[in-house]
Amino acid sequence: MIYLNNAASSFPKPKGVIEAADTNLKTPPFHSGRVGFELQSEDTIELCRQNLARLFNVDNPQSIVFTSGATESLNLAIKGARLEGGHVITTAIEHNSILRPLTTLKEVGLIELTIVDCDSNGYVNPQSIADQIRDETKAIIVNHCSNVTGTALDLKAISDIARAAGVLFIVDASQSAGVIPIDLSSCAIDLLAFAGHKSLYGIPGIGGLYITEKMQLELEPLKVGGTGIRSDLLTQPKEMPLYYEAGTLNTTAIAALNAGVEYVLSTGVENIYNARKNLCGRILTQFAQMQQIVVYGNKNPNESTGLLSFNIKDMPPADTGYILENSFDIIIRSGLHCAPLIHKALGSYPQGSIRVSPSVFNTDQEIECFIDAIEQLCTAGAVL
Amino acid sequence: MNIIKIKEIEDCFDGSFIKEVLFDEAVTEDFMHYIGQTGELEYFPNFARPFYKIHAPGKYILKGVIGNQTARIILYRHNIQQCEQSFAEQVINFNTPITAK
Repeated sequence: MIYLNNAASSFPKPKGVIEAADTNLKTPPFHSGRVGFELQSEDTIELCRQNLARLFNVDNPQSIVFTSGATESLNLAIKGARLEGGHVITTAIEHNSILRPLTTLKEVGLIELTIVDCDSNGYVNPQSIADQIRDETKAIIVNHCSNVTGTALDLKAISDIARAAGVLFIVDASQSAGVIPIDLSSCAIDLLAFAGHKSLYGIPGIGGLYITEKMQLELEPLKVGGTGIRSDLLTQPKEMPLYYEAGTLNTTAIAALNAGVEYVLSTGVENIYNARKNLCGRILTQFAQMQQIVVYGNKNPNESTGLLSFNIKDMPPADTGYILENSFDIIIRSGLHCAPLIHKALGSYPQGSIRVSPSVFNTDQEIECFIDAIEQLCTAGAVL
Repeated sequence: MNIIKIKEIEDCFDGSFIKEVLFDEAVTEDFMHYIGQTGELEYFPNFARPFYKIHAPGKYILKGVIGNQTARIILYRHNIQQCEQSFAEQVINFNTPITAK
């Protein structure tokens, strides 16, 4: 089996990730993981925060709170940021984890929403975001890297626009965390959501949200409840990160995420980026010679961010995906990829596209097998 | 041939339903050609595992791989139960000796 669906969830995991999850599950959960310096679980949770802080260049690890994944992180950011009565700007490249919470708020009359179009490559010009800012604008919410085309937005330029306008800047780094360097010390991002099970190599069920200092304890928590300490209080303790981490933490997933982030840090984000870029570049180079292939997004092999979308002319992507999986044992993703609006700009709506997303663990040989399968799909005539 | 289970996969943008069908034995070329009589059959025998797609207009689209015990069926919303029932009867009749029909 050749797995090329890492934009959904990464596979395989680094050895250390599996070992960390295994060790955690074999260690008695003495307490909830929030007491005692001697307990391994406490060390792992804080170590994971520290490693994430290193990855994102954050001074205070307590600025990072754990969630069940990027969807919960974005719900926390969007629903907790007191956007009611204001205007929010987002873009057409967003995943439903942003579009649906925002549309829900819009439909109940709590916010006004502007969705800025992208170009035919899936890129959103920062100026087109700036053009939509008005007095009532409270937040700009963008995806760093499209999960359909891999197109990365210019976070620095958008953060400058947000800062100048005095509005919140919320970023979904689900696809980029672990692949594209994110430096929160040089980029004024107020809330940054990330997934643990994609390019940070953790397991499903873990993600996080970076909360800038001015938003800490200002952002409304999505849930309240037990924290293991300060149990005398009948309200949520106003301390970071407890304020946002009600309930028992998913320590197994945090242990795995910690090992995944350690893998990313030791391998180097730039090296991971280059490995994925080279694999996608090889595909794009071959696709450029195949007339039946329509690539969506940036077609330059030297500028790929490690995932790409395409279709075979006259073949529904659902069929292409089914054949690749069932006839060739190659796992990709077909359809709209939970990001319906970008497909309208790309011209791939409503059927969507085939998305290929290799990881650092894929080999050149596997990519050659994939390209060979696509060539067969393009050239094989049906026997009627 | 019998159907063991039909599992709903997803609703489609065009109002159709996609379901995964689990048969009690692997799909053969004979079975494919038998079902294919009801519509237009596309067959790609040269893939690593041969792929087929059968379009029965107004009823369903069936696609799968020879040798698999599963296939994917797309049913149109306007008469989904009738089409599913019709397909199930077709499958069962593949077993039935001609003299017994």
